[in-house]
Amino acid sequence: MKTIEFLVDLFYLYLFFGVVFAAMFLCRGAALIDEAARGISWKTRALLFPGSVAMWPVLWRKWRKTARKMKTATSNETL
Amino acid sequence: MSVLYDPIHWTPHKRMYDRLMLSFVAGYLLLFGVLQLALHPQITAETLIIRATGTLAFLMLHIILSIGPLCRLYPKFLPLLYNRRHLGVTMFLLALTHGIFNLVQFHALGNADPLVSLFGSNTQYGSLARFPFQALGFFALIILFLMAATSHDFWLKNLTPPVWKALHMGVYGAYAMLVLHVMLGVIQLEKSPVLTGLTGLGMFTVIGLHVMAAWKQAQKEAGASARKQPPLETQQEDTLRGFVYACEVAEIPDNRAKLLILEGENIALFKYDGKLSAVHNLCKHQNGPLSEGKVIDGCITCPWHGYQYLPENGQSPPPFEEKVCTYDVQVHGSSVFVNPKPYPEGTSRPPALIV
Ligand code: FES
Repeated sequence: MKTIEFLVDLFYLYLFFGVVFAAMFLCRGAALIDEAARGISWKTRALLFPGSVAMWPVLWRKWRKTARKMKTATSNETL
Repeated sequence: MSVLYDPIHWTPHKRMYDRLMLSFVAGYLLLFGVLQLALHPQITAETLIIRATGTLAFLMLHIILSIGPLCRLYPKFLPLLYNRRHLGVTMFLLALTHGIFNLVQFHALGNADPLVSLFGSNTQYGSLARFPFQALGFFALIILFLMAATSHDFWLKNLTPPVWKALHMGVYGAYAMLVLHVMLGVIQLEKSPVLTGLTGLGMFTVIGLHVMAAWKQAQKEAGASARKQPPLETQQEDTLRGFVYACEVAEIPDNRAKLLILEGENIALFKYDGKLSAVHNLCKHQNGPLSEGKVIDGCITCPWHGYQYLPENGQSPPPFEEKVCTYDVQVHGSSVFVNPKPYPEGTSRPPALIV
């Protein structure tokens, strides 16, 4: 029973992080990783919300990678 | 294909599709409800909802799994494929309703957390006949959720098509779990020969259709491989270095294509406006077979969801950005030759003129 409780808690924790992440991602990150998501409507954001909750580790990695790439590109431009 | 994502890219066909689907859902729920009330007058509203949504979701999953092979066997079913994702999302919502009502009815009234109760109330995970069938239902529901939640084109692009496709192949895993969920549920609780019989019939239909479609595809691919080249003059042999004999011009209907498998390349050879052009056979959207599509308004149109490509360069007409590989084509007399070496996606190649 202890194992089941532990796994269920992990599941809830995953969902909790997912919800927090998805809210931030759909406000800023989505447009950064995908040009076509720039200025999307709130309806579309709502539609993408459940997937962002579920896929947060993948999206987080992608978001960080894009942000890093953009930072390097801007620092190269200023040099 | 959207330049800026829409929540749903509505077309008259999609509206009609959804109307029919929702009428089917409403009709089934009504009929099921009336039958259940007639057969079991003491039934509670919760049990009625659990049964109605569960059976309908399972039936719709069978329909969803049958549409792909049915379209391969009989192209007249293709309109059913165009909006399959709405069918999938509706099926998930029904399955979710079934799951939530079950969770509330059987696991939310005690002290334990509902999910802990779901996984912990029957712990015979080592037994075949007593295996906790509700756990299987939960995992199947998670797969169906992942598929419904990632059905928008945003996910196809950002998870990349191979990952997206692999994720959506999970439907077969979900189906296997749901068959066990129903069968074990019948063994452990319901003892319903009707449900067992119908599940068996459903499985037989789904597997049978997949086997038949795979057999037809294998036959088609065998017929698409390189064939014996007609005799050529020496001068023609020079211009045809690297080319492979594909077929006779007359074998391809106007505005249609012939599938070719030449040196491992999957090629769609299109005939349109007195010309011939060849592009890679797999659509950029979800790998739909372009060779089964048509040339509409000068564009190759994918039979699955209508993505379009220009035959001469394999590019989607602006503002869309999808591209497929192109190939060189030559016509000598009535024979068509294709060079199976692909050009990079979106490369312009002059079409071969039919003389
Ligand atoms: S596979 Fe969807 S349009 Fe081609």
